[in-house]
Amino acid sequence: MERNYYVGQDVQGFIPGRAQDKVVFRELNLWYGDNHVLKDINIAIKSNIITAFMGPSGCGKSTLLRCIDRMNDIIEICRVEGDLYIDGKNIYENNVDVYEVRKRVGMVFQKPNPFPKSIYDNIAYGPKLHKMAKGEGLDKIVENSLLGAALWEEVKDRLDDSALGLSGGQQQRLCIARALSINPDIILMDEPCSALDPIATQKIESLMRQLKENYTVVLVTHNLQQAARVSEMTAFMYLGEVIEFDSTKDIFENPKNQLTENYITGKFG
Amino acid sequence: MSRPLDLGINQIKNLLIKMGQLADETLELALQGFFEKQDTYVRTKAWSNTILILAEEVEDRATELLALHQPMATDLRTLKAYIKIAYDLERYGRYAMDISDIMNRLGAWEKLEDEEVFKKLADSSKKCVDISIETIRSMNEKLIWELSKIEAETDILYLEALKILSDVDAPSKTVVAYLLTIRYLERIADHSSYVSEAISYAVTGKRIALR
Repeated sequence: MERNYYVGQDVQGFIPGRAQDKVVFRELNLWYGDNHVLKDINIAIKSNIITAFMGPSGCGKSTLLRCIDRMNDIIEICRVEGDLYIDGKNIYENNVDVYEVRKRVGMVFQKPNPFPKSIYDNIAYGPKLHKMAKGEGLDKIVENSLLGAALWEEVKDRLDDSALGLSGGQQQRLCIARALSINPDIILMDEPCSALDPIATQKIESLMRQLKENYTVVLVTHNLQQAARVSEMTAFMYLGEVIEFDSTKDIFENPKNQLTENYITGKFG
Repeated sequence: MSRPLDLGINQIKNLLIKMGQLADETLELALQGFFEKQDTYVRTKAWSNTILILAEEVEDRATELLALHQPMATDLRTLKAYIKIAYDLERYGRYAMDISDIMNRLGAWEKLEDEEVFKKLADSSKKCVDISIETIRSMNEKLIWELSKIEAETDILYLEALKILSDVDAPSKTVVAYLLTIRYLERIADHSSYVSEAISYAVTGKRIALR
């Protein structure tokens, strides 16, 4: 396959800790058993923007996302080589506390997955687990998290109701609030709108734009229009490789690589 | 296997070629009317109006494709270029009609004895139109350089014609008629540049400005 990187950032000139490079992949490879799933990933994700990963099914975009919070570690046959820096710190070094890494990274999944608990308890769960606060401090975290996820006004009078009684869109925003409750730096979103209707999708997209003011957002999406609408940078992945990584405008209007062009114009994939 | 979007884009391309051919004929007729002092206004107006209707159809169809298919990359650039080109082709027709309209507005005027530069300018502008239409047909962005050369020659001829008109000893009606005509021809050549720039952008993704 043609290897042709168009990296938006100066990865070669990477200096660990450089402020604007929040997450940096350097020669990262990942295997599930003998299956080489991610190949020589070299990209740098900037802070306080939305970066989208797109590509056909099975190209490795969700796996790449899960590298950022080391969620792949729970898969026994998974092996990772190479480096992944968050704020200049290599999170794949031996002495790294995985739980500390995961505290800094919130994750939102494809299907809303609230706990079968009250709205309040869903948000309070993480802070309680990490012993971040209790009493009024915890109440404040719940309120701020729900405010941050643009859900507070809709649920403030029924915090003790079951989270399962919320609509799909509200449940997804609740999951975003839950991710915010542990005060992460990075929010990972894996197809967060694929189970939602257009109205709920629009609300989540608006929320993403708000979130990037305070967080670095990384989004996996099959929906090209969504990537085009919300992200500043987009990576196109194919067969485990980042084929092209550039500003979203350039990717969608003037891609440099023929594979990207073919994918986004629907000629394959 | 072609995509439904390909079908729509091809339909628009065919509309543009049709517009281009009609604009070319309109200009030919307008110039014939000007140099042979024939009244061609009714026909050029009708043809120009047809081009206008086709331009609106291009815009409608392109908008429909944008809404239904949400095209990206080359498809998106091509549709952007086609919408822009429809306007440029519409201008060809309008300027040609305006040339025919001069006789309506001013009545008969005396011809200049030496029309050589004016006829060269007309030929040059028409050549620009022809190349721009060929650029749409072939999507050959390299024609932009051929067109650029001729458009530059057109500009030189325009300035030469302007100089002649500023010095000529002729009735004011004659000067105005020729002056308006050369201005329209120069504008037509400019629009031909815009057409080829748009095609170049659609094909390569790079913006080139000949202006």
